[in-house]
Amino acid sequence: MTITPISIPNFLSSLIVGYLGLFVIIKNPKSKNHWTFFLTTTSIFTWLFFYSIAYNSSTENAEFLFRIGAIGVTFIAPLILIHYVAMSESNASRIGKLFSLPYLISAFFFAFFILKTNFIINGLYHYPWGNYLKGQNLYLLYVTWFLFCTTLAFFILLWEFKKTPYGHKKQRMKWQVFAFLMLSLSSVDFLPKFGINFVPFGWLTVLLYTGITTFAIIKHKLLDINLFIKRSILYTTAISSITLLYFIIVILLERISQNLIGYKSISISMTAALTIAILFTPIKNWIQKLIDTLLLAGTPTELADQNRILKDEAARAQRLEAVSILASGLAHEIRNPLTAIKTFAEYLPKKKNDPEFLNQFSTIVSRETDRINSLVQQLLDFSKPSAPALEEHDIRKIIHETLDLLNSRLIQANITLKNSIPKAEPHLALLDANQIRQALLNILMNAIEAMPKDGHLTIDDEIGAGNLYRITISDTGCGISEEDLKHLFDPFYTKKDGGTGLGLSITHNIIKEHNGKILVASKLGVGTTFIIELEKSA
Amino acid sequence: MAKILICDDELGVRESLKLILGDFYSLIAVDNGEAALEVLKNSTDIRVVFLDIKMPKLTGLDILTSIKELHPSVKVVIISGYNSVETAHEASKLGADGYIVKPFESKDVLNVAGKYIK
Repeated sequence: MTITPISIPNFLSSLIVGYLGLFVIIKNPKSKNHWTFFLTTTSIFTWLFFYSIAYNSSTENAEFLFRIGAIGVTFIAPLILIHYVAMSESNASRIGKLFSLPYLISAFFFAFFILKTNFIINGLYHYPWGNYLKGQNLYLLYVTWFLFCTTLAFFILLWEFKKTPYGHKKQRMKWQVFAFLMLSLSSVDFLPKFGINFVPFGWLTVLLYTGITTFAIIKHKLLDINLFIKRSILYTTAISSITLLYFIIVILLERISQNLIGYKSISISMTAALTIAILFTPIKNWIQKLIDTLLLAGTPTELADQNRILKDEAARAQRLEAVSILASGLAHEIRNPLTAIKTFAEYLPKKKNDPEFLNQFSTIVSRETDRINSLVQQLLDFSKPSAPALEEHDIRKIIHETLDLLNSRLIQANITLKNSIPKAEPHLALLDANQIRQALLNILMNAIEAMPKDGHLTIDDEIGAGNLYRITISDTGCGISEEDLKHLFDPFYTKKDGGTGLGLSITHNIIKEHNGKILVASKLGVGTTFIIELEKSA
Repeated sequence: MAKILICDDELGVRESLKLILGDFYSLIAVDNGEAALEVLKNSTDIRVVFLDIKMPKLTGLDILTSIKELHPSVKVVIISGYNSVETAHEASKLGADGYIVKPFESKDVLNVAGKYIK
């Protein structure tokens, strides 16, 4: 027997898709996202792999193998839907969730019908490029079922894309949308089953889909999509040429083996095909590199530029986000006291003879004005932290003094303090004593507030290499969630009753002004640890 | 006299609403969402809730959802420090009956209360 040309790309594609799926699941077996993608690739693998063998089999065997491949196709639809539902964080996933289970169950029914009955598919068409399954009466229903499911999946993806704010994640989503569009082209493969002579090229589009999605899942920083398209067209051309070359070599080998052994064997052909496929990877890499340097002149620089532009954009978006958090926090903080002042001022003429009102007026208005004033002061402190007035101080003494200030609070909350910092061994460092006191106070206050009753506060220090001074402050409080941890030092980000969200961002700024570092680790329900590192300033 | 429930973690805002509404309605004021739900559970004559959107723990939108679920006949007016279309839209989607932006005008507060308590 001879190898049908179309089976080769299908076979190679199935191996690559299978490999990428495994790669993704091995990277993170705990992620739901990775699992749903892995299952999708398994279905794609089943489809392409069994089709590629079926193309080369005798008519009787081919039909059975095609049917198994078609079961792979069937499961792609619900699995893609489930994959996007798992990925989605927006409301759209609710509709998706509603459909996921019925779709998965009906996929089993369709699989059964495909394998055991002739209602959906039966018999083969014989096209010039190879054999292909014949769709029967229920085939149109099956295709409609399939396309509705994938369209739904696409809408969930689009909705998620629309909802995602500008940034790296959006960039990643853009790729996923592009990948899906590639995948949707493979639905052309349904046509030959209706008797239309059309060479199926789904193997190529699913390859692109799997490749891009893998990339989007694994990589967090992506290149711009335009550059990607330019590169992929060139690569595809090059790789198609090698595939052709590969094909010729396989045929030649077959001829040679026929001459040597006297007969053609599918196992020899397959082994030869696999061996060359493995050998082709370095050649393919080499060709890619050649394209990068020859055809895409200056590509390494271009890539670097693209990366830089993207990085700048992301940084700018982050800055804008910080400004908008700042603005909305400020709006809320200032509008509250303003509301009271405005209302009391409005009622003053009407109630000027009501002593109770006047009493309330003077208390509330002066208190609210003070609040606005202190807010403005904090904001100024935050936006322009005055450069620290560095002098040589004993940092250990400053820590002890700061803790003394909090003594009564510690007793009140029944907190056990374990302070291992030796008072009698001074450690001199260049710092602004007031600012460092403020920075420590903010962290300690947060620790105390996180432990309303019976906690442990542990404070320790060490002197590291290069005279690096490290303070560790640990509490056994409620802990900080992963999401909050990301915003911990953002101004106005607060989860505390009556907190302004400025404390830790001021601390952060102070430590930065001292050329120091502040690190935080936390676990919900276990506690939080802050580490401050101060260099021995020049 | 029909009752209005005020729920805001800010004393100044609570006092302001009391000043505006106190002469016309009987009022209960609380400083957090849990307390608001507790009050609604125990008294059946509350017709309107003035609800702050940004509060620690349960936010105004959380409380709004609970109120609309447990006491669908009670009207909820959201008071917000953010003058943003998104928040207003989100609130109206969750069933808010009114939306007032801080610092508010006393006549707006009286109007919205008057609309629901004839």
